[in-house]
Amino acid sequence: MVNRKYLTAGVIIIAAVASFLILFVDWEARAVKKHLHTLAKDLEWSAGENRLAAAHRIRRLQEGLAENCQVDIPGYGISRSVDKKDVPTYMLMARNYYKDLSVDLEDMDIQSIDLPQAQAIATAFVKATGADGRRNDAVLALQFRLQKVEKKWRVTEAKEIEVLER
Amino acid sequence: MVDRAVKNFFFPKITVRYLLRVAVVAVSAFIIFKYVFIPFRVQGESMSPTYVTGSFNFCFALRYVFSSPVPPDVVTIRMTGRKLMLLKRVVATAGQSVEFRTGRLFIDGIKVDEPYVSGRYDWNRAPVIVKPGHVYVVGDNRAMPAEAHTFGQTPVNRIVGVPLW
Repeated sequence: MVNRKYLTAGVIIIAAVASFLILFVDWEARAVKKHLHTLAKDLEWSAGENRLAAAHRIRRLQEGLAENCQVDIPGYGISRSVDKKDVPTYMLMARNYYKDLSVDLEDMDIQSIDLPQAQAIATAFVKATGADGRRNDAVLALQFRLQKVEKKWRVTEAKEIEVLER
Repeated sequence: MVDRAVKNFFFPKITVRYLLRVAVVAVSAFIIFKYVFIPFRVQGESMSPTYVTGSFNFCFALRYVFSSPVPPDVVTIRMTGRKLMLLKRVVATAGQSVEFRTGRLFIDGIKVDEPYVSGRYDWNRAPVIVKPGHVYVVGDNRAMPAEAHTFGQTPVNRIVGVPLW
């Protein structure tokens, strides 16, 4: 009798938690956020890191982007459509400019999800050391457009939001 | 007597009244430090020597509830949220003309005395008229090329508040 009482209470609690998760958690928004944070992590590199690990990260970065990704970041003098297969070349070029680089995405907000597309904004804190050893940190407000292809989110556009207009 | 007071302070009786008091303090602290006095740490050299990298401060977010930013206020500017903000000095308001000649700031064609500026790089920028609803902000550290410095005009509604000290 007692066991049945506990069992019933357990089932009710599990059902309540499951209902809450289904009704109130936006799983697509969470997936978009996770995807962007993963891409930011894959953008990192440090001096003297393992080449195999670096190649693996570049590969993951490549997979996270659409076939053609429009990148407009005037702060870094980038404004071009990036072909997915050219990502390793661009990454090698970037590694010649910076000895190490890390990107933290903060204040991320999913502005809209209209499947299969989504739009998000975030503030990127870029910490970098130039090839000459000088710190080159920057804070950028970015807007991302993503598309869901074969159940995976891919970035189709990354654009800098102008906070201070010169 | 003192022993009992100390004991009660460190090991209080968990009563409903005590839990209520803890809840009120926690909620008040959350509201105050989330929306009124937002703690932040300065990172970067753009506002040195006034604010040096690593220093700690609070952003007073109610400063412009009944007023607008005016020169030479130091303000925090939100990017896409409040976790990362820019710290800059207001040098001009809507309708004013901003110009840099050989590192000197000119507002409406008149040279501005800026005792807070440390070094001066050879900045030269053509006059820009500040748009309505905007302010022009720039950092105090001008000892760097203009290209390496983040400055310009921003909507007033992007301004979160002012540093407390």
